[in-house]
Amino acid sequence: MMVLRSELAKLMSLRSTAWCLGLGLVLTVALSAWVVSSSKFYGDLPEPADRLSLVHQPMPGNGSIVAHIAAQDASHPWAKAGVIVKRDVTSGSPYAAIMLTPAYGLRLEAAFTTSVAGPARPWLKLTRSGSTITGYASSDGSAWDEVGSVELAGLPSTVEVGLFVTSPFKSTYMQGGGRQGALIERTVGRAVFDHVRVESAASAGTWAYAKVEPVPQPGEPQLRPGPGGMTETGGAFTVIGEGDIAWYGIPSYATPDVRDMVSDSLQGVQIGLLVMVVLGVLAATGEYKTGMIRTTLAVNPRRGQILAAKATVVAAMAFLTGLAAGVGAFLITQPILRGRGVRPPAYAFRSLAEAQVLRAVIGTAAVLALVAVLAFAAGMLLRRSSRAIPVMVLVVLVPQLLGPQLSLDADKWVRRLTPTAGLAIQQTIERFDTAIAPWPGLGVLAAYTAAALGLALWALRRRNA
Amino acid sequence: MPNTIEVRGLRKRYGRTVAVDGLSFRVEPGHVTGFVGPNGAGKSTTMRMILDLDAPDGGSALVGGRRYRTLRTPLREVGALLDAGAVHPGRRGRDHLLWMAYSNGLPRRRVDEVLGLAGLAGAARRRAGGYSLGMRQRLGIAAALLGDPPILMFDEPVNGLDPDGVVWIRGLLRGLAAQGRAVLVSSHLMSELEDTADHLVLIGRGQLIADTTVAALLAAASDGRILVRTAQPAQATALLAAAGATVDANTVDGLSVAGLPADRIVALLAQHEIQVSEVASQRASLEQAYLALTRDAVEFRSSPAKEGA
Repeated sequence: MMVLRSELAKLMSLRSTAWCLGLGLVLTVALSAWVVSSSKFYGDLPEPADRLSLVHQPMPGNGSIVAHIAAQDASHPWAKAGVIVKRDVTSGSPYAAIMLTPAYGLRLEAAFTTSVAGPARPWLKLTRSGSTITGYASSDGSAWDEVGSVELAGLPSTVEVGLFVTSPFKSTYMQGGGRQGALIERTVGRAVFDHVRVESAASAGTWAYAKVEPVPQPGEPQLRPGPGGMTETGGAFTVIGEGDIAWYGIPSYATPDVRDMVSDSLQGVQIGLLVMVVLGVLAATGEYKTGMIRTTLAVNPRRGQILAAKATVVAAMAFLTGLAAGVGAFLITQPILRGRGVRPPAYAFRSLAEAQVLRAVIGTAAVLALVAVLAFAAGMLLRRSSRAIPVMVLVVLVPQLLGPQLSLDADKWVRRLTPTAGLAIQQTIERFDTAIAPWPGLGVLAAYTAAALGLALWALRRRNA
Repeated sequence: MPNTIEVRGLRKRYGRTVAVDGLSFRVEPGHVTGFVGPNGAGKSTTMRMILDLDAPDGGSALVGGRRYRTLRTPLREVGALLDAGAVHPGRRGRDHLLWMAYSNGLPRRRVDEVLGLAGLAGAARRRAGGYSLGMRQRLGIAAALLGDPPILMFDEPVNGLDPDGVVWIRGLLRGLAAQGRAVLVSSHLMSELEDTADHLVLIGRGQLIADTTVAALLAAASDGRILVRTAQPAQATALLAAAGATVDANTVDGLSVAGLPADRIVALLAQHEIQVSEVASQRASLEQAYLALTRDAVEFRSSPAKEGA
């Protein structure tokens, strides 16, 4: 404890320490606020995706539609085939549907925002009763299990009911040269329905085929018309279709560019890292620049104790500053993000009370502390600020500058194997470019820091002071 | 625990330069021991090895019978001023002493005491970057005294001090020794230690030249010479040379005569009626003794040094 108090007094008695801590705090918060204010990633939400092949007929009043799915192609894990109740055949009109998917079983979905899982059975039924739509599943067409029911406001008395098939685009995400992008390919789904019937007091409709597609907004690229169609042979309908009925909240909705709002809120850590590099390096090189190290080691000749005490003091200072900066950055950025249209259903409002958010904020402080100690070890090894600061800036910045220029795979490896991995602790969602899980990422950084400290101790014991 | 510094067969080499070459000596309590040698003789290297700052290539150095590295509160056992410049310029003088005090569990009050002792009380709250060389020396001395240690080492403490400071440090060193402490003081100028040191360890090129008391060194260097002042130097020289003495007439004061005892000289000169104003045994300065010794050391470098050389 004596040595800790001594090293704390030593570091606190220098003006450079207060400068580093103050600058680290202010710059981190300010940069975080600036990043979310100026980022081009936020803005109005896209329209719901509503693109399907539909075999339909009008159903006046209350009633049910029933179908048996005889076959479904596994064109995409999230391909859908099922029965649907929809206000009309325009893209974006309210709907409720029960469906099977090749990889995710049975779902009851409605209004682009609700999705409920159920037992995967080939017989599907939807019943309308006023504004309530109830979904059932059955393995034999006679004994029905209720999957769930949804309220669909504003339905007219006559709605369209029918069979539908979708199969989402397949996206392959790539990066290089500083840009990210997706290669989008169509997949084509096919399903065979039989035993199709509409149970209604006044139903006498005939089946019609419709391709439901959104009307492109002015300025939006016009997609080539997708494949689609329907053939009927002896009461069995074979439907071909593509697209998806989905939006935020529906699991099939592919949102590769969804932002991690928590890690976006903490981007100011980039400048905080540089300031903590200076703090850590100066804690070491301040000793060597003046020959103070000889006084330090004469006052306490136990090298391990000196190194541990200095590292502890540096880590504690960086951690506390980082914690204040992380909390400050998170709190200051949330209203800015809200003002920029970041809100449900695309993004939940995040709060410090969430475990993942706390992990990210406290983890940010831990990253700053570990980098400060890594910089301290580099300072002890290299002995001069003019060497240690450039080396540490390279270690911290190069992977981050280099990564986006590389292919996605190479970038992921960079973010797994370099000290940058520590920043994974800021993640609260998994994205296509997620390289490493939060705790293992922090572990990689901690391993680098531990190794550098070990090397510094070996050198301190061995070299002339 | 004996309050001594004991150096045994110490060796240190930096690349191809041998800095310390088989050095052995002891610093005893109750004396000021001067550690003297030309620049580059290995004094500072030896002191760094005593403090375990540099690792010896051979031999050992013990303070109070132990390796420095094993001391738990070294400031209470050994006080050292190695390099007065080794202070962070951004740190206040008092803060520089405070962290040292904390690390050895010394009370805050002791910091103010040594600041007063070193005459720095008025500058304690200024940043060390603004200190003169003399003030930094005083800060370094204050640091050495912080733990009230029984063993003290000062590397060139007089450097940069004004005349008042020089007088002060001489008194301080003698006072510390009089309290029974072992005091080792290095200098490259013998004259600085003339009135201070009781014992001398002389080194050159990393090797011991002499390990002796000041009195013995002076006596040996004086070599029984007699100083003769006379109004007739030419006749006196001829007369004394004829009687078998070696006469050096090139001194300002008079004739320096060797090879004849004083009573014989007086008798000879009186017999021949040569007017004599003074006959005295000549006392060599420590500086002269030192120069004579280092000259010998260069000539007989391979022979082992013996006391009194």
